[in-house]
Amino acid sequence: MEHGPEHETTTGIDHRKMLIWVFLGSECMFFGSLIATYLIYYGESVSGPTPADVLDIPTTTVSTFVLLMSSFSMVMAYSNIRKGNVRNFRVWIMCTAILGATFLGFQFFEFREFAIHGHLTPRTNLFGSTFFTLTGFHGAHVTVGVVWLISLFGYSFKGDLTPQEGLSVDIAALYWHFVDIVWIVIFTAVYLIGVFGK
Amino acid sequence: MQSSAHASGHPTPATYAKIASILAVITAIEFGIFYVPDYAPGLKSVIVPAFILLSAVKFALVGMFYMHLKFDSRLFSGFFVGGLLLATTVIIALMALFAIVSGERIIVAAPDDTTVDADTTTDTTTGADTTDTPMAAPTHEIGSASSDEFVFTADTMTAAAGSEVTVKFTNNAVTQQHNWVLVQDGTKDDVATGGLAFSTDNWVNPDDPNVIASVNLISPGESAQITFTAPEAGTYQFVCTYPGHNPTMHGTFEVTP
Amino acid sequence: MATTTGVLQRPTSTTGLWGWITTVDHKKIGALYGVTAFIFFLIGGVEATVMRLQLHRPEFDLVSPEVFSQLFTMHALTMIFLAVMPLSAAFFNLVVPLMIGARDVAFPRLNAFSYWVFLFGAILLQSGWLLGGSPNAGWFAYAPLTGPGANPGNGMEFYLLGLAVLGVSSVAAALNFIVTIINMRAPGMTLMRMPVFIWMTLVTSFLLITAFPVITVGLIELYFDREFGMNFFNVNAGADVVLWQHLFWVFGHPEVYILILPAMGIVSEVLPTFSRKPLFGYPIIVLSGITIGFMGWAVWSHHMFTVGLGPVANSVFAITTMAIAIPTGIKIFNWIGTMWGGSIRLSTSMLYAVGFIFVFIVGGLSGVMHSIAPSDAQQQDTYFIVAHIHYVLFGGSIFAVFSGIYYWFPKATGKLLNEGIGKLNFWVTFIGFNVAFFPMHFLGMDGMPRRQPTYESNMGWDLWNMVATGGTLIIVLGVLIFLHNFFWSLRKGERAGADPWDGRTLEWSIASPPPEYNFATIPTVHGRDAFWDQKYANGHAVPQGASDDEEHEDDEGHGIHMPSPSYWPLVAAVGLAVAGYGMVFHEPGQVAGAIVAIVGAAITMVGVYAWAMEPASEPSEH
Repeated sequence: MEHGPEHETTTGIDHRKMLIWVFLGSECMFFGSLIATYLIYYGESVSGPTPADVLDIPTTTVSTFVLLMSSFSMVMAYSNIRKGNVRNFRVWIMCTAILGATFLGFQFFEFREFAIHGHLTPRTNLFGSTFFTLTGFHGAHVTVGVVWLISLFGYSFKGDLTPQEGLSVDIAALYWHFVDIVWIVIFTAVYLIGVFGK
Repeated sequence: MQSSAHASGHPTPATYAKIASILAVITAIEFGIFYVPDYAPGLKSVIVPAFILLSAVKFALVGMFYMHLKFDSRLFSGFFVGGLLLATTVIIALMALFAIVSGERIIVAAPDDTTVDADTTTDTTTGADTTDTPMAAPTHEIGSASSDEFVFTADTMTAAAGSEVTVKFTNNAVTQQHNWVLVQDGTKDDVATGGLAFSTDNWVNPDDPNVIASVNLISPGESAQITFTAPEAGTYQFVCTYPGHNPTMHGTFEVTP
Repeated sequence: MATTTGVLQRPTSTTGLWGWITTVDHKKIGALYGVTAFIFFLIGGVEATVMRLQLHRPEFDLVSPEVFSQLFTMHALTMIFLAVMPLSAAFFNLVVPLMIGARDVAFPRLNAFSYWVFLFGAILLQSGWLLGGSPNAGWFAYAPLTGPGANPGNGMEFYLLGLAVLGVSSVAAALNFIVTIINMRAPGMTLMRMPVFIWMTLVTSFLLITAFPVITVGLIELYFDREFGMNFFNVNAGADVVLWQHLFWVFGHPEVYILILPAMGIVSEVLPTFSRKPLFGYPIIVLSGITIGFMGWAVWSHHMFTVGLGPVANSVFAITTMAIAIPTGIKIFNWIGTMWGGSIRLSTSMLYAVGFIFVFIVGGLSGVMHSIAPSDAQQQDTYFIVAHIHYVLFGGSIFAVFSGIYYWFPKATGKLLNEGIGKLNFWVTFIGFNVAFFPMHFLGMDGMPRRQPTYESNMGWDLWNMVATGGTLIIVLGVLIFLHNFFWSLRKGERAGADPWDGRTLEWSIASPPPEYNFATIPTVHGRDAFWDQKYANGHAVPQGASDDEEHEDDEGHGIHMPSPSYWPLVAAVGLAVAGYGMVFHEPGQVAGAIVAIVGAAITMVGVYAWAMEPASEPSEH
């Protein structure tokens, strides 16, 4: 994970950091299209269950809170690696990964609950197809993020994660926060407005 | 441009903690206002805008402070906000394109539509002022939506058992062909599926026992009518059997004793 | 740091087969892109020729209607995704770092990854021919005709997975070029000093990263419908199949500009060089290129005028479509202005560039006709549309690609393509092109529908179909002449020297073919047409080809640290291909396909990990 041979760049910005931002711009279009599908089909299912029948606002508020707090622990990890405090970095990055995994746990049990008690699977109706696909792809992004964070945790023991290399953490952090803000949108559009709108 | 990621104005852990508590509080507020209409129904209309506003604030806080867009190169904001704006615009444009059609459906299905209300028509059958053609009962008019939505202009029609019924069906659509088929209750999808192999017979199987009467497939702007004797009292369905229309384009035909 | 990353020794050879397989050199990757894409261009040409033979007279029976459907679908997919786009990518790879004065792209291994993913995606898409049937529903694959039940077999899976994998390649390459162009320009090369080709590459790359995610979502939804019984395009569940059309064309129209903007960039380089004049109206050309990029997002529903979106939507999209002709027209006037009063040399490259302008105007005019929604209702699905798209895609993109090949072949290989054979190649192709496609305007006006496997003789279509097929055979001859020129010139071509055309941009300031490190010393740029200034600004001309020779004699690459070759991009790409095949052959209720897909994903993960852990370049041994 070193710099390339070019140290000078035209803008003074590291290539990798620019890459992650352009990539996140691209990801906006990906989630935008999934959210568009969800919204266009909102209320168009010819049979139940509807969002109001199955979505559990209190539980999801808790899992939203968990994911938001993981963003906080992520910036703390970043702040520590920049100060060269690898020990604290490890604590915070592991904390972030655990919070991320907790969120995934919530999602797993939510999906299971829907399938078993809510009688909602991706095949049931339009709502099922759009809901599971949108939140499922978000969950897949969280999973990639958790693996990435754990890899950084392991990488810190190799001794290469110097304050200068805080960039590796910075990039992972940007991805992580992005996944978090996508959830902010999903929580509002799918859960809050989705249940409330009925 | 200097590598501003290491600029002096970078937030401290205290700032991060402050942002975290604001995020937590906003999430709690969102949870709270979700239940406000239970106690204050008058506030219902402001709740959705409030959700959008609050989540936008959360979004902006994470973007500006945790992703340090506020302190970093403006190029990053450009990439990200550019992607975000494009995505938002496409979402809004797509929803608008679908809403143009759905919006019309709501108008068309409204009760004060120009279509003759089926109940009124039945009443006038027994009335005395049908003078022009004494032998024929008054015509039941029904049409398809003037958009290309797959719906009829009325959800229910009524007739008296054993009476002569004339149904005049008008295709108001822009591009879609439609028909009107009266079938036994609960069989609309079976009839439509059974008609799939009969594209030259107006998508109706001529030997289907569930079919009571039908108006042939017509193109936009055309209308056609049939006259038949109303079956025995009970509930029936009418449906358009053009492939794919039956899930939404149907209604109930009540026959009164 | 050790040279191992666990199991495998890091490759060191930069020659031979392994040299090509593990290369991260942008010039070699460009060559791989170019050759691969040209092979697919030939395959797409064979598909087209079979169709024209089938249609050369009424009720001819060369191929069955089933095969014909696969032919027109695969011809479009091959030409768009496997020929024109990767040929553009070949030029991006070969030319962009040289033009901006860089030693490589920003992410050399990501670049190699893009190529390998493209190759495997292309093979995946084409392998339907051998593995039970290709996609057969047109390149737009409208649901529900492509949905479960309506389109059995695995043909559509090859389409869905093939495009998804190719999308990964395109987005990865586009990300790379955005960072390269923004971040690796030579000192002094401000944005408004960049050659127009660089600008068009940048705009195209932004279109790629924003348009491909949209179609990816559409592909995922259709795949889920087909394989897992979901309801995205299931009308019985309340779905609206027009959603597919929107998702497809929201991607599909920017895609059209993805195909044409690089071509416009190439022409904007070739015309000034062979007119010996600076590009006329540089800022306006750049601005109109950017405008086209933006407006490309606001016109997609003109592909859907006959869907029944209603008068409001049709009017809005008709107006935006008409408006997009303005920046395009501005560009054409500026190109003509560039040639005006110049001392023009009609080399083959220049002939193709001028031919591009000529046919692109014809194609542009029929395009404006389609923008008028009521008129389009008559032209929809007729050969008139076929004529239009071939005037802008063959006459536009492919002519510009040939112009670029004749222009940059000497830089890539050190040999000139033979000009005599080249001019023959141009005139045969140009005449064949017009004979093949101009009559299709008449066929369309006479009402001949496209995508029909045959027609009856009493329709009045016989003559022009026969002419069009004749024109196709002339094009085939033209392409064969090009192939002959290519192989002949590789062996016996005249040595090019560094600057055979008296060029204006930085790639001509270094040897042909360029050394691995491109620039011994990174040049400093003082204006547009950087190399032209360098040659002539001080009032004296540097002898052609001599500009740089001495420098790399004393500095034979010493101290220039280039990225090292790597296996891992290939490994990561192989994983994607394996996963792709697993998903193609997934059958509902069976786990075999899923297992293969998971194995593929695991291979990719191993590749990405090893890639992340190995340094971009090994420390040099001295």
